[in-house]
Amino acid sequence: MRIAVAVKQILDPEGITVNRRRERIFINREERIINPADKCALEAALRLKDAHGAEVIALSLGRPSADDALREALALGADQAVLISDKALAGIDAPTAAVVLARAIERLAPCDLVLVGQTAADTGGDQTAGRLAELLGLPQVLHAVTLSLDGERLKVVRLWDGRPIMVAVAPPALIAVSPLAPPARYPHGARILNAYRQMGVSVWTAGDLGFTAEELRPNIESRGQVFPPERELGNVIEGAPEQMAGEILALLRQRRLI
Amino acid sequence: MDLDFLQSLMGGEEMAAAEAAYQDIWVVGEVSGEGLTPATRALLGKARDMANALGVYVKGILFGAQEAAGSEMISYGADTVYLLEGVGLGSFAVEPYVEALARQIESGRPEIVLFNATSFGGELAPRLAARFRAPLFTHCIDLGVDEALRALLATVPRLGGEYYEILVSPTLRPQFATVEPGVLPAPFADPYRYGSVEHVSYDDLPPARVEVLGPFPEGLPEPPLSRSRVIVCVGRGVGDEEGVELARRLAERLGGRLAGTRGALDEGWISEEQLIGMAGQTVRPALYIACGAAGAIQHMLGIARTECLIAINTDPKAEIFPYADLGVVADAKAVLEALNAALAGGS
Repeated sequence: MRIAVAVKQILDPEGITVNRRRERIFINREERIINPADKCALEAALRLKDAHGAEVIALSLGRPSADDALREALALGADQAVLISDKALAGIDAPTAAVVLARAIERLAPCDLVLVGQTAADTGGDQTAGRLAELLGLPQVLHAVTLSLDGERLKVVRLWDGRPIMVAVAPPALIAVSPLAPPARYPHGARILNAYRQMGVSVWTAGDLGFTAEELRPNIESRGQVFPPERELGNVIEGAPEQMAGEILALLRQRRLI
Repeated sequence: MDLDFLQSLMGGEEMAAAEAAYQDIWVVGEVSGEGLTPATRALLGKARDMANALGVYVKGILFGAQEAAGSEMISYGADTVYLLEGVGLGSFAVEPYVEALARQIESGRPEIVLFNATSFGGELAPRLAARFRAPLFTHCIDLGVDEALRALLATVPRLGGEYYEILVSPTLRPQFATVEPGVLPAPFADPYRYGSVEHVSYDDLPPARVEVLGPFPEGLPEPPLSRSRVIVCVGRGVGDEEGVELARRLAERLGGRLAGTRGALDEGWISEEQLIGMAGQTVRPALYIACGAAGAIQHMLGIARTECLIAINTDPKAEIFPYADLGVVADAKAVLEALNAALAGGS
């Protein structure tokens, strides 16, 4: 089995503070990590590899620093890594990014499975999976939590509006792995060294994939940021338990937590 | 003032051509038991406002012969409702649904197509957007229109909702968006609104390629505490095992997990993995309910990024209160009992 896993390198959200009152975003620690959901997708691929044997190819569309994300994927157990990086790809929008990724995956053909993370933790994007499935003409299973091979078919436990259901699909297919899926393993120390010393990351440019700068021009613009109201802390109330429970539930409803 | 300048003010020739090609706002609706889902109603209300600003029609889409839900869509703001029917549209499957919607969009040429950001919308919207190589804005919390550009203004969450960004696609049409359920205000129904419900039938739709085997009854592997959206935390102040059990039940009801402070760990109420704070886990849930926890700095460090903190403690001077969105001075066990009772009472 040949599995392509698309991973995105993002700025670690833990290193970013949003000051709502001053309406500013501070990057305290510029550390780049693999998007958590994508890392779960990588883990899902590696588990299939452990159980049934597979060739896992990690690919990433991003700036040159995404090389580190791919080395991490190699250290975790991926067999090959491809970085799609080009100046012309800077500021690429979601519709075009999916087209570029799809063409890269076609170039890696034949892939039995394409695994991606369901959502991006930075932009909150929740569309690359479906777009890739459509562009590649594959069936899709989104919000996957666990995958297992059952004969010719893949059995997947997925979340449907938060509730787990079981589905089956025959490869080739695209599976989007939920960030709630089992988290990734830790790489073996020796593999980390190997990932940097012996294994290579192929770099493809936009031109290699046959794109012109004109085709990659972003079509989506930002009109600025909006900040949620600052939290008002320190509001203390006192009373009978039933009344207090009512107040708590009222707050939860107001914040749409129930 | 020359004509070119006027034209550029009005959006230019290119825009005029696009306008003629794509118009109307479509809402792809969802039906539950007794009618439209509340999110679909709210979406129709929003679509109506935007359509009024643009001077276009709102059209609703439903799958299956849902006449009652169709007329409900009209009462909430739709002018026309298409009921898509055909083999394969009886129950949800990605391939036939996408194909039917794509054909409908090709013939109707809407400028904006709206979905709810549910699993239903999340399955269909990205595939359709890819097919039309169109922009898609996911999990929007608000929508608007730029009347000069005739473009959708979508407010999307960033960093999991820490802030929002307003996005616009000036030229690409149609524009797709999924809207987070529950964020838009509920509109009023006008049962006397006039509109038409049309049946559209599609044959030769592609078959589904994913087979649904049914609900998955066994417990899922639990996600780590650090990714839990809701956490109910117990401290020494819950009193006894019974209080812990009440907290556990509340956590279950809210779809969250039980955790605890160092004090609760020492009492043997929680396990090492459930310890929150400097020595245990750092979490960033949307909701954190601290029951009988004093708010020691070691504990507070672990929950600094909580979105909504509710603290229940008998001591009005407890250190946790200044950090809480809502502080409740009461016996934690009694409040937990009342909360469980209120939630069980069909709220």
